[in-house]
Amino acid sequence: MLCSSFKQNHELFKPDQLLPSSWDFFAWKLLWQGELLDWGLGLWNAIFLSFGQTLLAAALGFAFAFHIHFSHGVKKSIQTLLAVTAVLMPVQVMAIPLVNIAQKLNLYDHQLSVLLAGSASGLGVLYFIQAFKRIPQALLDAAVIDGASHRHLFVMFFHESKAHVLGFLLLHFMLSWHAHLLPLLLLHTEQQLPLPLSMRSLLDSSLQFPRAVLMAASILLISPPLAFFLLGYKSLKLSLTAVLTDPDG
Amino acid sequence: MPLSLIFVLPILTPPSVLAWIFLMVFHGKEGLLNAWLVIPFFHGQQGWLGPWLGVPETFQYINWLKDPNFIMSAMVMQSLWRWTGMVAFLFHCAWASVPRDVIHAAKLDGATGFGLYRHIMAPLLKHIFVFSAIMLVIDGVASFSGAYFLLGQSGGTANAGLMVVTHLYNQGFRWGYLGDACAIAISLMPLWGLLIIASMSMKRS
Repeated sequence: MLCSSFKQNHELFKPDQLLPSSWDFFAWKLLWQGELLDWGLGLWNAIFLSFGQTLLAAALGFAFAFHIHFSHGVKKSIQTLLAVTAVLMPVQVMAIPLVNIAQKLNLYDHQLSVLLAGSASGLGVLYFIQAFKRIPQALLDAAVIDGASHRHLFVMFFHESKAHVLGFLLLHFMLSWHAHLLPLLLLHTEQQLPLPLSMRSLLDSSLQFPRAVLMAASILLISPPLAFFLLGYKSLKLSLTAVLTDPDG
Repeated sequence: MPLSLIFVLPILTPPSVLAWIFLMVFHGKEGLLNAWLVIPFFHGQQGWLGPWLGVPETFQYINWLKDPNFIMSAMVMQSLWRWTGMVAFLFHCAWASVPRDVIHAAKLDGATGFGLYRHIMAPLLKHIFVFSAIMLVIDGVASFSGAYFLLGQSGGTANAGLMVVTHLYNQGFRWGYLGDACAIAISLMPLWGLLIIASMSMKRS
């Protein structure tokens, strides 16, 4: 992809030519000028939407998982089943109701609709339920004996689960970065669209259009999740190692 | 870390970008797959294996994105390339959590190679197999943007590559048949019910 961002159109489909004939930054210059694609705004929209969904999903998931952790019996089973259902039911199936709800709330073609729809994730609930199982019960009992309120316990859970929170933030960021259908359905104005959707106009272009610009935009598109993955790799691995250990749930 | 990054890089790539990359892989005669694999080995006249396997002499290359017999194979290859690394990373994380005492004890008892994998690793990581299977089934059924861009916002020739969500999107949001789109969405409910039951059974086992 990096090499393709320096190639002319006739070089792109030559399978035996890995490197470009000249390392010309024409595609990057075209992209930087912003005439073909407002990549800066698109990238900002993508980061805003992904971050927003991730933070909201983490907050909601953490809160519900905390509530489920202290539930018992049938109530706990029903709540866990609802979380599993939310995970297994893809957002694509809920596409039409989501559009209807967004229209009724006057949030159609507003980024808040994508944020709200994307934050309703059962994955966070199940993820943090598994993470909370790692917290020693003796620690909880000692805190309760010392008079800790629910709020104090919530803060304590957060401190004990920091690595898991960071791991989930990274995981959900990657998933929401790739989410295509929700912005496609709920956003209409060009200025609201994230970069993957803004690039559609390049994908539909004529054969005379320099495809290297598309490759350059693609590299920009991969950079944020790649950077966050590199930053949060250790936390993600530590968190997944802990979460994937217990097959119970 | 560098090896893990190689595994995870495909899943970090957005499906729309992946579709464009795979357009170069599947592109007619000059696509990577045809140029490096199909034509050298299976060409009807010049391929190494073609004449031996009885491939017709008129066969030149596979049109992965236009031939209805091969469109779904192209979709599967794209999905395979995207998810293999991530599933490997999940297994790597799960394997790291297995107590080493279990492995050492097995080795002391004479377990080696495939036996160690079959009797120790596979049972301990059984839940990861099930989790990955459920996750990939969900992704397969809910797959949209990869196929959508690769096949030009349609299902391809004779709708051979038409995915459920693509059909739902086209019916509901391109052609305005919201009732049909809702029916398509609801028709998937039995599948989700089965997945939920499988997931809860995995929890209990």
